[in-house]
Amino acid sequence: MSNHECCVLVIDDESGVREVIFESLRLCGYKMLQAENGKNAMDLIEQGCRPNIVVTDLIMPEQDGMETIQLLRQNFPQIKLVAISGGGRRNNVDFLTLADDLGVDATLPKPLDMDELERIVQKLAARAA
Amino acid sequence: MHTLKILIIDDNIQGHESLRRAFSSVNQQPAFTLVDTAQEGLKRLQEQKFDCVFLSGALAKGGSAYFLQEACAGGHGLAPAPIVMLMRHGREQAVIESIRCGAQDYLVRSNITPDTVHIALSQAMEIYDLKRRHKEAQEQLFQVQKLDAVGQLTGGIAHDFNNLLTVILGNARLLRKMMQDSDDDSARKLRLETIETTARRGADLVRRLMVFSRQQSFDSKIVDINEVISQLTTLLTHTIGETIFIKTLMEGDLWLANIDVSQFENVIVNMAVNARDAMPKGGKLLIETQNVFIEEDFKEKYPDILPGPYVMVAISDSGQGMEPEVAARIFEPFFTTKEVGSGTGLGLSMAYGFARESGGFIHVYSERGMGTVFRIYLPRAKHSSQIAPPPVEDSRGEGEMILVVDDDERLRQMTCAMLGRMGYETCAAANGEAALAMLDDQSLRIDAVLTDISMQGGMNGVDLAINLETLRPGIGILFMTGFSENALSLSGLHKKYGIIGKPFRRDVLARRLHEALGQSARAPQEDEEVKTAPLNDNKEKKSHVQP
Ligand SMILES: Nc1ncnc2c1ncn2[C@@H]1O[C@H](COP(=O)(O)OP(=O)(O)OP(=O)(O)O)[C@@H](O)[C@H]1O
Ligand SMILES: [Mg+2]
Repeated sequence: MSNHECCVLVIDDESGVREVIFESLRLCGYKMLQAENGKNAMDLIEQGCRPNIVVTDLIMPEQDGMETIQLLRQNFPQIKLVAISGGGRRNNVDFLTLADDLGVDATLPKPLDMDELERIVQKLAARAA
Repeated sequence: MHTLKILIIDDNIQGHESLRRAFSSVNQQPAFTLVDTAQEGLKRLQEQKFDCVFLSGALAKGGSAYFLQEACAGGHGLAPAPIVMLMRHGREQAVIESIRCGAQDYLVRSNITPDTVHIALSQAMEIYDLKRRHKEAQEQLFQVQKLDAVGQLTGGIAHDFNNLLTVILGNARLLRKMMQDSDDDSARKLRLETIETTARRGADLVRRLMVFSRQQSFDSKIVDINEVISQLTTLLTHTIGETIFIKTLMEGDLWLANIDVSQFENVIVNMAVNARDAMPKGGKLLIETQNVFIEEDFKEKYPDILPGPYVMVAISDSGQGMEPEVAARIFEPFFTTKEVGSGTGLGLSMAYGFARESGGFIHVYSERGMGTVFRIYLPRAKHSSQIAPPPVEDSRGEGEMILVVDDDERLRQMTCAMLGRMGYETCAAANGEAALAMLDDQSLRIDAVLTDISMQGGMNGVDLAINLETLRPGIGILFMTGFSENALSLSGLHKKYGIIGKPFRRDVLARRLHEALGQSARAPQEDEEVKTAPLNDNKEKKSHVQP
């Protein structure tokens, strides 16, 4: 799938982070969507938006990333998932490791290496149906 | 065995006399220092170590209270030595007041007898010792609490910080992309670069804080530390090898350890960089590995260390060393003596956190102008091959009398206890002078001297050895050092008599002592040039040496 056909949804409660990812990927040619938490993201999808790739933060108020990942995996297995996180642990396990266990396609720690994020999204777009 | 050093602070001459008389019945006379003012007393207390201070409760011009206050000021309510008050009356109020101010016990002047003095002295020393240990335990607890506080703080802010840095770095990158199109202004690009490098430094700082506060996962696996170090040495040679000579000495059959390799590498790199910074004019860096069995004896000196098998990594440099005040603080987060911008003071706190997380510990030994050695002890991996028993002793004592000379009281006791179990008899002295005084008494049978090299407040081990060559020619001598024995350039005296690095393994001590005792019959050889450098370059002292 070419970049122009590929739709990416960014979920992060921190507007600065959301905006910078949004703009960087937009410049790469993707169709962009954004939401400030998991709940808003699910609303968008219910309204008919169909992102091919979701880039989501993990710790957010109003439905955190873990829950969103689980819901998306169950209901929309074709959507590619990228988890990003600024660190933190639950029961002594790193959040990104937990996300990995839930079956995301890639994980990336913050502060984000934006080149790396672009590479990851590029690869996933190539595989997206 | 060791001569008690007593400081008497009293402006009443009769007071001096009655105390001395009371002591005269003990078999070994204490060494008395008499002064009659608080100021003079404080000065002496700073210069030397005393076993006990007898302080008049009625010095002129409120001197007694002043002395207590000043003597206890530096040590959180504990003076450098136990204090016994000399009171005219045993009035409760006055006694309580002085004990509250830092004294340990008291004597009533009209009742100074050998018995009362003996009781007061031992009581004061015992209470003092308990208090000192209590204070040390508290300090350790405080250190741990401080580390935990930083950990919690980090956990709370790291997440937010990483978001902020993402925004800064991301926007700088977007801006750079926008500028590439209108590729005109290199000055602006420079500004952007500054923003990016600064933000990356911030990111690095957060990452280190997270490692240090264990917010980051500890990815441990069982490894051969020799292998990790061999691979690292190449990197180290590239980073610090220009001015520093790097040497490694690895134990052949090193036990495995269960560690997070990348954190361990960070610890070693930081220590190597610290060593380089301590050697601005170049020098030597020695990295050693060793299997070490920590015995029960260590409990005495290092109460929180579990006995058992450890893999030890020692990193020694020949740099400028540290003042004790600096050495006491190096593991504190953000403690640095480096310029703003060149050190964050997190390197060693991370090392501390790493060791703790691995179930081990770090020990540092440093001497101003000589160098520093860090020893990292990591517990041997549980299921690594078979559990080897503690090393067998290949030689045992047969009641030979060993004189142990060390200024560290607990190490001295520990060493004596260890020797006792190995079948030796022991006596002890706290410095070279005290040792010489004992050795001067030719009726005292002493077969060998085990002496620390550098000791505070008095003659050091090398000078002691030089003096012994005339006083008791042919006596067995073995040096001890807090440095790695491999780090000292062995020459002259050290080569002649042998040297052992502290803390020592019992089997190594047994072997070296056996050698020293074997040699004790041997006369000094002619062709051996006696050099004491680098430990002692005082030419005058060499004149005592016999050819
Ligand atoms: N080998 C050494 N010789 C002399 N002093 C040392 C040595 N290692 C550490 N120090 C002292 O300990 C301090 C703390 O060291 P630490 O590694 O924790 O922080 P830093 O080197 O100052 O900064 P950072 O490692 O975070 O860049 C140093 O500033 C220095 O004063
Ligand atoms: Mg450092």
